[in-house]
Amino acid sequence: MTSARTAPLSTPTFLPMMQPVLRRGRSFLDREVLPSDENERRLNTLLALAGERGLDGVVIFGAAHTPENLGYYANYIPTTFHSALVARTGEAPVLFAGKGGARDHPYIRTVSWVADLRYSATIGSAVVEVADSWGAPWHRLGVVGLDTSLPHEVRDEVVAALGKRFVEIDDIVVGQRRSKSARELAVLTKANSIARHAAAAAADAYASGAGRRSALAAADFTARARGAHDCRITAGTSLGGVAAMSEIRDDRGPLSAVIAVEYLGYWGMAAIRLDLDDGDDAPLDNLVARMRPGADSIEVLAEADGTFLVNGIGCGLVEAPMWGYGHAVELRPNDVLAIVHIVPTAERLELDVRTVVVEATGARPLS
Amino acid sequence: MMTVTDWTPPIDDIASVFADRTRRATTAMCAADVRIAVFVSSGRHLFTDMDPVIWLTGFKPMHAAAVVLTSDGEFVLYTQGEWEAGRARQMSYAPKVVATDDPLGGAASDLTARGGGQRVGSAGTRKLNAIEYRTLASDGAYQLVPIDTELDEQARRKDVLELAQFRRASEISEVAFESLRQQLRIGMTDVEAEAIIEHRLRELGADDAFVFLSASTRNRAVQRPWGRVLMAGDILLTELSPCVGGVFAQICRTVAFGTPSKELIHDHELLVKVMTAGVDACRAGRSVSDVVAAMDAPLIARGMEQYTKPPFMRVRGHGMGFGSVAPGDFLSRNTARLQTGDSFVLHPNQMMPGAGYLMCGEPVIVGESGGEIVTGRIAGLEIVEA
Repeated sequence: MTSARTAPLSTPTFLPMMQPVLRRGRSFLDREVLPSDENERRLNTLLALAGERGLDGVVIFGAAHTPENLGYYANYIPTTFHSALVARTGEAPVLFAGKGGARDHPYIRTVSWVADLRYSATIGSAVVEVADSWGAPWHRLGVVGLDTSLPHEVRDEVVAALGKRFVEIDDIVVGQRRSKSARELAVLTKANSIARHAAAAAADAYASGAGRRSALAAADFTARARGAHDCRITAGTSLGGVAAMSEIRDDRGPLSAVIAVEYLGYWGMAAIRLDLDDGDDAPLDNLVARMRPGADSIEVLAEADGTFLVNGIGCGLVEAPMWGYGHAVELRPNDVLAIVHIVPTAERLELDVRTVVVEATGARPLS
Repeated sequence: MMTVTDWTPPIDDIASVFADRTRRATTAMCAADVRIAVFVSSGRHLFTDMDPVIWLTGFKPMHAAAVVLTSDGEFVLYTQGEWEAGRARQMSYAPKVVATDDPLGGAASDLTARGGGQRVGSAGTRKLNAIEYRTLASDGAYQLVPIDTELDEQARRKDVLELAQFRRASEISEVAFESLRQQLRIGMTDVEAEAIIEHRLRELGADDAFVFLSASTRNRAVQRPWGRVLMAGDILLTELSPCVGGVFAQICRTVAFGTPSKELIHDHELLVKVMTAGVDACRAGRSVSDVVAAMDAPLIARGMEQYTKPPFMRVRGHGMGFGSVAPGDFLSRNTARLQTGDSFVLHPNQMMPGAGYLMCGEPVIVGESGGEIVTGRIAGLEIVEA
C-alpha cells in the first residue's frame, strides 16, 4: 500500500523546457547593441536602490542554470557551477567565476566588463574578504539569488561567513529587470526574430518531407547559425501533453512545438504553425487587445477564450510580470510578455506564441 | 555515413534492467541502514554528476522530481504537474507516477506519513538549492541520511542498457564530428561549426550535448564559440559529448586549418602516444593513478614533467553522468581501482610548449586486459585544406 498523495493539481503556470547541461553557442560582449555601460548602469541603479534600504553593497549570486542576474549586471553566463558579483558604490566590482580555477579568466575577460576576476572555492569567505578590503567599513549587504542559485551547502557557507550582515533584495532585482529599456527591447525583438526564423525552418523542413525530429533539429540549427546562444524546444504530443525534442520520433506524425532561443542573454519564443498563417489566432488577438497598463491578470485571463500561459520574458524564459501563477498582477508600461496559447485538438496539442510589449495605449506584438 | 535516427537499445527486456536498478538501490539503502529513501533530481542537469532519478527510472525531468523507495521495493515517482507525469508514464519504468504541484513537497509528505522521526536515506540532494532542500527536509520530521556513496557503489557496475547507450553516444559523436569535418571550410565561423554538430546530434536523437568548440592560432583552453571566422593557421578544438538515454560519451578533436606547423604535428603525435599509453593501462584492478602515471610517462621521458601538472592540464579523463561517474576524475591522487565495465572519457588534453592547448580523447570501457576504445581509434590531427 502506498501513502502517496494525489492532491488536486493547479493548472500549468508556464510551458516547461528541458534544461541543457551547458549553455552552448556564441558568447561574447556585444558592443553595438548592448555595450558594457548598459550593464554598469544597471548595477549602479541597483546599488542606489540598495543604498535606500541602508545597505552598503550588493552580492549577486548566479549559476549555470540561473544565470539571468549575472548576465544582466555583469554580462557573464556561467558555464558550470556558481558565481558571484560583489559591488559597492565607489569600489571596483569583483566577479568570482571559473570552472574550478582561474584558467577560464582570459576568456571571461573578453565577455564581462568587470575587470577584477577571481576564483574561490569558498565563496562566502571570499565575499567577506572583498567587503573587508573596501575603503570604508560595511555593516550589511544586499544579497540576490542566495536561496535559489546556490547549492544548499554552499548557501550555508555564505550565511556562516556573512552572519547577520545581509538582507535579501531579490525583489529589487525583479522589479528592475521587469521594466525593459530601449536596448533590451531591441535585443528581445532580435531574439524573437531568430525564434520565428527557427520555427519557419522547422515548418519548411517538415513540408519538404523531413521527419518531425529532423524538422526540429533544423530549427535548432537555424537558431544557432543566426547567433542564438541557446535553443530549447518543447513539442506538443498527440496525447495532449508535452515532450522534449529527443522524445519526438523522427516520423511524419503531427508536428507542433514552441522554439525558445536566447540571444545576447535575452529569450525569444515562436511556435511552429503548420496550418495557420502567422498571427492568425483570434482568441490570442482578443487577449492581447485587453492588455494595457493597469490591466489585471485575473480579470483579463478570466475573460479569455481558451487556455493561455502568460508570463514576462527577458533574461529569463519566465519572469515578472508572472500572470501564469494565479496572483493579481497589473501590467505596467515596458512590460514584455510571452503568451502561449494552448489548443488541444484531436491530433495534437497545438501551440501558439505571441510576444508583446506593453505601451501606454496597449500591447503591441514585439516584431 | 548512414546512421539510423530513431535508435532503440538492442535489449529484449529493458524493464528488467530498471527492476535490477531498483534492487541495487535497496541494497544501497540496506548498506546505509535505512528502510526508506528519497532519490531526487533538481531538474538542473549536470554533465559530470549522477542523477539518481534518471538512473532509477529512465525519466529525465524538466522540473524537480523525487522517487520514494522502501526497502521492500515500493516505488513512487513524484513529478510536477500532469504534463511531467504524462512524460514520465511514457518514458519511465517507474511502477507508480504521481503528479503533484510540488514533487519535493509531495515526497516529504509521503515520507512523513510513512513514519516521521525515522532515518531516511537521501541521494542527489547536493544539487538542491536552499528552498528545495528545506522543502525536502520537512522541518526535521525525519533525519535525512545521505546515501550517495552507497548508491554510487551499486550503480558503478554499468548494466547492458548503460553500455549500449554509451556505445550509441560514442557512435553519434563520431557521426557528428564527421559531419563537421565534411562541412568545415575557411571563412566559416566557429558558431556555424558548433551548430553543425548540434544539428546532427539532435537529428540522431541526442537528448543533450555538452559541446565546447573554439579556435585560435594558439589555444589556451577550449571554450564556447563566439563568432570567430576560421582562417588558415587556426587550430580548432572541440570537446563533443552527446547524451543518449541519460548516458553521456565524449570525443575530443583537434583540427588544423591549412598546412599544420611541425610543432603542431609533433605535439599532437605526442598526445596520441600519451593516449595510447593510457588506454593500455585501463585494466581492471589497476588504479586511476596508475593510468595517470602511464599517461604522464611519455611526457616525463621527454623532460616535460611540469606539463603533467596544472595549469598545463586539468584531468586525464573523467566519468560522465547521469549514472555513476566512477571512477571519477583521472588525477594522480585518485587511487580508485578500475573495474571491468567502467566507462569514461580518457583525454590527455593539455597545453603543449609549442602548439598550445591541444585535444585528443576517446570514450573507453575497461576490460581485463586493457581499455576498449569505443570509437575504435585514437583520432589523429585533422586537417582542413586552406
